[in-house]
Amino acid sequence: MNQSMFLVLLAGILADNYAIQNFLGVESLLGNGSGAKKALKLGGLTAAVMIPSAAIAWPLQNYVLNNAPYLQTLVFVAIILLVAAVVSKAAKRPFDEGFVLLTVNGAALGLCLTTAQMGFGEAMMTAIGAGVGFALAMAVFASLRERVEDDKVPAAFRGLPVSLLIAAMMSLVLFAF
Amino acid sequence: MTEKTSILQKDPLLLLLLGACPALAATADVRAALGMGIMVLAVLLLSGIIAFALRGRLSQGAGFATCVIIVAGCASVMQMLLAAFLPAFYNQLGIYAAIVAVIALTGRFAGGVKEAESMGQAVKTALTIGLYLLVVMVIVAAVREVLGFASIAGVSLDFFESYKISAMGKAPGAYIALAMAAAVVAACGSKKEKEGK
Repeated sequence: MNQSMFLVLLAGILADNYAIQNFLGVESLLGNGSGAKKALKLGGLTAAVMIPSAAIAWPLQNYVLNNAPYLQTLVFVAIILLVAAVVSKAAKRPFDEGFVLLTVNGAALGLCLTTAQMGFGEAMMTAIGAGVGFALAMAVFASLRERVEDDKVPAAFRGLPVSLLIAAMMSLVLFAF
Repeated sequence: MTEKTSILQKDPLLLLLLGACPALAATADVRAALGMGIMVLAVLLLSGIIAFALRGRLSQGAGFATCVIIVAGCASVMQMLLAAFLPAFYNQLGIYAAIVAVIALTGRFAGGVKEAESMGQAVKTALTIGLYLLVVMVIVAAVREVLGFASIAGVSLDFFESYKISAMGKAPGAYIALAMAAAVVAACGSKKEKEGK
């Protein structure tokens, strides 16, 4: 792997983290109330949908959708749904509303839209970086959220506000990269 | 009204959570927030009407996935309208114009609205939810733009020039401003609850 590809991978995980820095799929991150281990599993499932979706979306965009750009969003969402259905079967999880809301999110669609404009190698590195970064962000966020819940938080800040403040701190940390 | 959509109407914090992506991404500028808010409102209305009209034909198992496709179709229509009539604004939103197709708010609303009692009620709920998110987004954007860029809707405010906090215009500022808005919403909600008791 050459240095620039490694930097693309690292950027997807840290500096350009899809959930924290780009707000893509941030609802899955903020709405997840489980512990760090379960959050890592859920993040892994989302990554398992994101990466193959981007791999399928790239040739479709470059060989078919360039002639019909108005179909891009619709086709990409359909691809993500299909991949999510396959992943749900492989993971032996029901393909219900909860699973769809977790995996068919802004991170998956944003990744397909962004990587479709790149070269294939860079697109795949970005996809892997974004997927791993999303899973890690889910786990770290859940771990921090668990610790804060034990502290005394003012009533108005319990729930979503404190979750957003934790995300703000994570974002500030990633800013340094 | 179905349980899911009535919960969406009654829990303003849940609404902010489900609509967090556009509420964070498009709030660095008041004009972008206004445009994104209107886009979310339009997608909610359009997808709500279509999902309600097709409610009898949506199968039990793949019903929610079908609703996501309906929302994606509506978002595509809105994208095309934006690209045709407001290209500058369409370019400003970038990929976030398409992301409306998969935000949890629109998907969950379309998934729940098919069980509404009437079309009027579905439209009313879509309007309530969409307008609420629009107002919150514009307020958050105004705070971020003033503090982060010393301007409001592109008009520079000289007084704030020396007090600019650059982080407010970036990702951390988006989280902090939305957290403050959510805390105000939560405080108002608990005050109302106490008065009710």
